[in-house]
Amino acid sequence: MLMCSIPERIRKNERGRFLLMLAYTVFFLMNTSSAQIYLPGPPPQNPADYGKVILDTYSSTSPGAVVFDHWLHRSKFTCRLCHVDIGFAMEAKATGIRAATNRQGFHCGACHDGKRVMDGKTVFASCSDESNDKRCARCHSLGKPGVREYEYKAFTAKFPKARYGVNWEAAENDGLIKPIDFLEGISVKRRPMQSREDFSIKAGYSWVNPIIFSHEKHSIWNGCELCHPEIFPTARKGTVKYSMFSNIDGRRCGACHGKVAFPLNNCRMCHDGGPLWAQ
Amino acid sequence: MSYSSGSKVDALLPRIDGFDDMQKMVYTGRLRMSRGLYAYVLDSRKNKKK
Repeated sequence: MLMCSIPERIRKNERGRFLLMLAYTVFFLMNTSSAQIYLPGPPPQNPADYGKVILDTYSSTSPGAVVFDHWLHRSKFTCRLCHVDIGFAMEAKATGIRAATNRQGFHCGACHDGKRVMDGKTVFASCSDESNDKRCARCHSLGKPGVREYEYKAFTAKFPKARYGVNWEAAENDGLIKPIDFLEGISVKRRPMQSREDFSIKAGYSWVNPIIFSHEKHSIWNGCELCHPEIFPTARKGTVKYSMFSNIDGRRCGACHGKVAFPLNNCRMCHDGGPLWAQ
Repeated sequence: MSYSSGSKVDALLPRIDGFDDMQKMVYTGRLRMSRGLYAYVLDSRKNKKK
């Protein structure tokens, strides 16, 4: 037996359809907003500023803050060489660089000692007593336009470009850069590293493809000790939890990606093919 | 970390303590990384055997 009249049933159906549409809309908006949260902000517009580190000086008599460009140094050295052998920390203000340590041959002074020869040129001494204003300004260059010897645009003109600046991997493959991994007097001679196999990591979200992790490339540039165990503490599968939250927060992949290595919003560099909606 | 490697690392600490502050910081950092990596490698091997 019919419990209500036909017009009333139609009205109820419409109400049901409206509620269903409302639920769909809320679900869609929630997903979109969560996707927005997962996605990091874009890197600086000027690729020359990507990976730039400003080192505030401790001394009141110093010639000003140092501007360190990762793009220049990473074209010549592996990450491992500076962050392991020389001992530059991966986080701000953790290294404790001083003019005195540079003079003693630590930190910048490990290479910038006025004796070491790179690419046929003697590397200038950092924080040397004989330095003049012009020499100091090569590093202590914040707010001093035109004092730096290398400019990003000219230096990287012949390098292959990616979405956000230089494609360093392609530049190395093309033989345009040959980052060195050994410094006489600082590095320890080691056996050549065995090739590490790339592997796949399941993505935590259904709207992106799994990550193809290039273990070989990462280990050539970083060695083992830059990532293990401090950034990725264990080799047990499934123990280390990855998420875009931790990456955006500067942990896990975000320890380098988003700061120096290609940015986190370059999805398809890790998630093969990028997000599913973009394929 | 195994006892032998741990004690080898620990044996270096008094020598590092004798350095000035800057050297101490650099070498303690390197030692921490080496120690961590060694523990990691042991852990990986143990994990592979399982």
